[in-house]
Amino acid sequence: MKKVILSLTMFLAVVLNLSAQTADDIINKYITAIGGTEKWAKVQSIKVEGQIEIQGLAIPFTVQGIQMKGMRMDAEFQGNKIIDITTPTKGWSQNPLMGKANMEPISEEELKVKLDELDFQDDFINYKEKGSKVELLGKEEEDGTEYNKIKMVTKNGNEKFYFFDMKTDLIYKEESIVKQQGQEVKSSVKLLDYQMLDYGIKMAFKSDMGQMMMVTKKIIINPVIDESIFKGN
Amino acid sequence: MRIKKIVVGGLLVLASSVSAQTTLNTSHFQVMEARALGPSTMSGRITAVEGITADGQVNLYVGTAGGGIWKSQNGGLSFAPIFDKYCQSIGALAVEPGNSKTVYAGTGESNMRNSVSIGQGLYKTTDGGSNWQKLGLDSTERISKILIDPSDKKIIYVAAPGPLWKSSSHRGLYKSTDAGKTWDKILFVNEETGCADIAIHPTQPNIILASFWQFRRKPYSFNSGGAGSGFYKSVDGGKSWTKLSKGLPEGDLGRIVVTINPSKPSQVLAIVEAKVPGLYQSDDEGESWKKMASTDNITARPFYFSTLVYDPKDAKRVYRPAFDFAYSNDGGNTWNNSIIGGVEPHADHHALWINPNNPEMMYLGTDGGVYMSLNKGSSWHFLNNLPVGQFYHVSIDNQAPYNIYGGLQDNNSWIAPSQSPRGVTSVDWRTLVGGDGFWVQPSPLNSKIVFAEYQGGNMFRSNLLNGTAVDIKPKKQEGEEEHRWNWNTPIVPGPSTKKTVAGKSIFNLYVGAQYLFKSIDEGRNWEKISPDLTTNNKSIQQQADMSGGITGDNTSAENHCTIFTITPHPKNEQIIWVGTDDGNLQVTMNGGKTWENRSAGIWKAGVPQNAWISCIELSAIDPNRMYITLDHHMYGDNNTYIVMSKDGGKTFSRLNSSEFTGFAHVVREDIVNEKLLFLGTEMGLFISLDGGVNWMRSKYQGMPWYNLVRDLKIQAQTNDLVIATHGRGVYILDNLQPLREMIKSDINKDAIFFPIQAFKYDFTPSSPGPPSNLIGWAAGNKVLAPTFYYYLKERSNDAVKIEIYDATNKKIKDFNGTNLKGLNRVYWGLNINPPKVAKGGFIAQTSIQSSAFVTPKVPVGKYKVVLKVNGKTEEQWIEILPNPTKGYTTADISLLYNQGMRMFQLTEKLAVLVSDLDSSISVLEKNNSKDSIGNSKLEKLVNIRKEIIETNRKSVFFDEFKFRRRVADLYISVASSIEALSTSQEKGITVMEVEYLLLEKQVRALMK
Repeated sequence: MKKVILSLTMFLAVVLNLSAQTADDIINKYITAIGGTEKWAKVQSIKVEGQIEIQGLAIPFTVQGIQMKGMRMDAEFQGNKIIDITTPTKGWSQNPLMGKANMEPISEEELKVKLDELDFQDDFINYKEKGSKVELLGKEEEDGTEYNKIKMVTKNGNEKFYFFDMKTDLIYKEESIVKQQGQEVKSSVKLLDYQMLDYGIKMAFKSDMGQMMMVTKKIIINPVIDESIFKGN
Repeated sequence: MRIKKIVVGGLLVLASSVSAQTTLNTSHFQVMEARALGPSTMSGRITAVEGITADGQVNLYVGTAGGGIWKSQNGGLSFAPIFDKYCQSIGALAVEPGNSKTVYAGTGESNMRNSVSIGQGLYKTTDGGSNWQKLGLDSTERISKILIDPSDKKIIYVAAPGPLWKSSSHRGLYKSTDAGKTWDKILFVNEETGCADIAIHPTQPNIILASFWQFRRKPYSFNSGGAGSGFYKSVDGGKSWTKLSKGLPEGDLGRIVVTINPSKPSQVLAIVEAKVPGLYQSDDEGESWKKMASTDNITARPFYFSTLVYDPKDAKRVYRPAFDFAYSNDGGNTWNNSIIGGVEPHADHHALWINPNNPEMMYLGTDGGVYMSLNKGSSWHFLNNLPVGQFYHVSIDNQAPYNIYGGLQDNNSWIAPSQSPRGVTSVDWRTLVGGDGFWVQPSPLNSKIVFAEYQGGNMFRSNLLNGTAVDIKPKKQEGEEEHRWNWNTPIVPGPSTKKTVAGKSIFNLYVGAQYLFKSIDEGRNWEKISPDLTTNNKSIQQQADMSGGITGDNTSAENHCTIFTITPHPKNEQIIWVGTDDGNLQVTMNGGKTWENRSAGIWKAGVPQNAWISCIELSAIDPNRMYITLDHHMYGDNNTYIVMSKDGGKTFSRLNSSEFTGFAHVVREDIVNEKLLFLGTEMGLFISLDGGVNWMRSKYQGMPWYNLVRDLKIQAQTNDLVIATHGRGVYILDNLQPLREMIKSDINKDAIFFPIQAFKYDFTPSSPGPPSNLIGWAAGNKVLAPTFYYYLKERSNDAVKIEIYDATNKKIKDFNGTNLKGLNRVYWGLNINPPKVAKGGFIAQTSIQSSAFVTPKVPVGKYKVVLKVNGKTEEQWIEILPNPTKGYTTADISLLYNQGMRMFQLTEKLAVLVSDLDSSISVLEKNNSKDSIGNSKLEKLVNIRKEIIETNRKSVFFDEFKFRRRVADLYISVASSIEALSTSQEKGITVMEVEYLLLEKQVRALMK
């Protein structure tokens, strides 16, 4: 009899455990779903090719990056070259369509936001070691479905909110808060079309930003990249 | 083993049948987003204003009576709503000292007027409003103040006056010592008496003063004060309490407002409602009191005005915002209310935040929005950016574009267009009649005549032609009892018009006191067409004697036994249904000759007997079907009551849903598809796609989830749903047609491409537009373009492709559609695929850049639209029609298209030429050191290229016109025109074509 009660208590304990899901439970499931920490931690460089679709136009782009060293985005529209470079200490941008005909340095405030992007491994891979803090905010409805919502504050002080799909364990939506001149501006992106790469990790091939969609065509993991492309001027 | 297999198999069957049954929610038509028209120029009641400076910015949190919480990060120059998923009635806000991101929000307003809404408890955010957690206190219904202990931010006090319309044990003073996780009720008096106000000593936070108030509203009376009211003090953080009386008025007390002087904390001020009311001061932390001023502005309407604030630094300066803005420079002995310069703030004040770092700067919350002062309240500036007006009803007309008419709580009757050049903005709203606004009805026959009213049935005929208004309220006739007019008296024009013998067109206008009146001459003469249709229960009609309690208050808000809703049948005006505020449902089948009371039918369906009949909706499709909403909240019952009859109102059944919250105000059946129903309650808009069996809360139509929806109209020409809210102004959900299509379709299909509505050539007007610095809150216009709707059962990961073919089956346009789960909407700008444009040189913000997406507009005719999704193809046709009345004839559109295509072809030819030229230059550059002939050729080519492409230009402020730019300018001019070029203008195209031929010859010759 005692044994029965004991096993029953244990069963209840398991049930209780399940209901008290922690942020790390959700994050761990997510990491498993995208290929696991081991593979992701070995991502040291990346090259992405794709296009930005906006108002019926498709603007091709290439992103190249070396983990925590540098990132460069190149795009072209009607023969005009748009370039964006971020390094841990400096950043530059060039966009003739926006009145920046040549490569110009970006402000510290802009750089702070972009620093997180130098981590090409997923935000949640070894997030503790990288200095990020997370908090489970509970469940929240988005587009008629409930998602687990987790808040992350990165080492650089940027705030992000992630919506985790309870069926696929993948991230459906990411909201970020960017501070400009003491005021906060919220932006959000929906991550769609997750695909498994030959390398063995899973990534979203589409980022829906409402007015704009980023469509990835090709991803190369750990290509050889010449660091000199991260020099602004 | 076998059994297990069967079980698993069974589960699989179950699972697959569940997934096969697509259940809809409102995210499945999120593309149908309502336009919020405001207005912000006449804002709504503000109940709380709190602020804090962070990162050099004044952050403001503004709580409203029915429009949620709005945040500004720039001192009120712009606001964004941050509480749209929760109850919209806000009672109190508190910002954690030193932390701009942690805010407590108590829902349920405590300005106890007749129309006040209800709350759902206490919430907290720790990230400035992005995320909120519910902390409980759900049943308090009303929270008047939240205070955080200045020495320990985990200690929170919440004053809960509690429910207005019923007894409740949930009233009282609550305390949390763990930042809101758990709560103790630390002071409770009785079920009729709640905590109205609290104050904490700034340096000895265990000293707390709390006022308790006995109050109750009934549908026909209000009572303020009683034996339960009292003033209490604790010196041990609320563990024990002493009742204060020394120096305070004798007898029963009412509402007491209390505030402690931050510069001299032993000094306390309190406004005490009593037989002899007044402002009282204590110099010993509340132990004893002496009377100071007792002017009207200090003591009037204590149930409505409960704000008293000391200057944060000046011990003598005190503010009493009430029906006007009073301030004292001598600690409250004398008061001034002069306003010098700026604008007079709207009357009726409920909140004041003074910037502690700069006490000159303050923000005042009124019945008409937020005002800012930079000189301690002597002059004010209105913040025209909070669209939180409180409509009671909305009406529409049949003009194009149609107009919106409605009355706002405390804020007049209004008219605005549903569309306006560059969108509907603050300057589009115009006021008609003053006072509280309710029903505003345009004449069905004369677009310049509008009927409007203020509270208690004071109604007018407004003439928009000469700007005058005439009182048309029916006068008491011989043999009639004194008329009883509801605060919110219905004014309803009949749906049909007819001609008199003399040939004059007339319509019936109905208004209701206890009798129903009809006028056929715009309210000049009235005929009483019913007996008293109410219960005429005299015991609930003694407002002048009964209402107010300690301080008399009788403003027609308590008038009772009156007609509250009038609905003539849309097809047969001999049938008129009437509902009263005391539960009577009456009908005449003969234009008022005889009446029949049908109330018993709704009671049988389970509705309480005295519930107000808030709306009667007669189906325009089936003469036997009707819906009624009922409101019983004034008896303390907040349930959603909606009943339906299928037999012309003989028997009724109640419609219910687990989704419902809030007492019901309005129900509408679609005028085309009877399955489509809309229900508006105090806490949400609900939509049914199956005739009322299932309901879903509107969450994804761009409105607050718990919107206070008071009225709904469907505009017949545009199929728009117009939504009147009591806290967020008016919304328009443009074109219900796709919802009707969804109802008709099998939504279990993977993809459905709905039939496309024909499009009549038209363009959104852009002038005369509003002055850009007076826009305030603005709503975009309905998009005037061919619109394709399709439904996807699941979100598609592959791009959804749309192709358009002309009559010769030539593909003229490709573009990507959206790939949302549910309904998708794509506009076609009547354009074709853009031309190739010559590359290189300077293009930023020029016609060259625009040439990559602007194209001629297609001619009139039929076009095939092909939708490609997940390997499947669906087809529909669209007809593009001319619009001769607007000047868009088939011939002119065709001519314009041909002119545009000439420039289109020229643009593409130039692109090819430049591309060839660039290739030649590139080849020569690679070989440039090899011979001098090559170098000379290269130089010539480079030079001629400079005549085509703008290569010198580096900035938008240094213009350069080369051939490409001239082609592009003319191309854009023709392609964006809405009228064909005249014969002389068209010659410009010919000149350009000739010039091009010469240029091409020259370039090709050089390239040889």
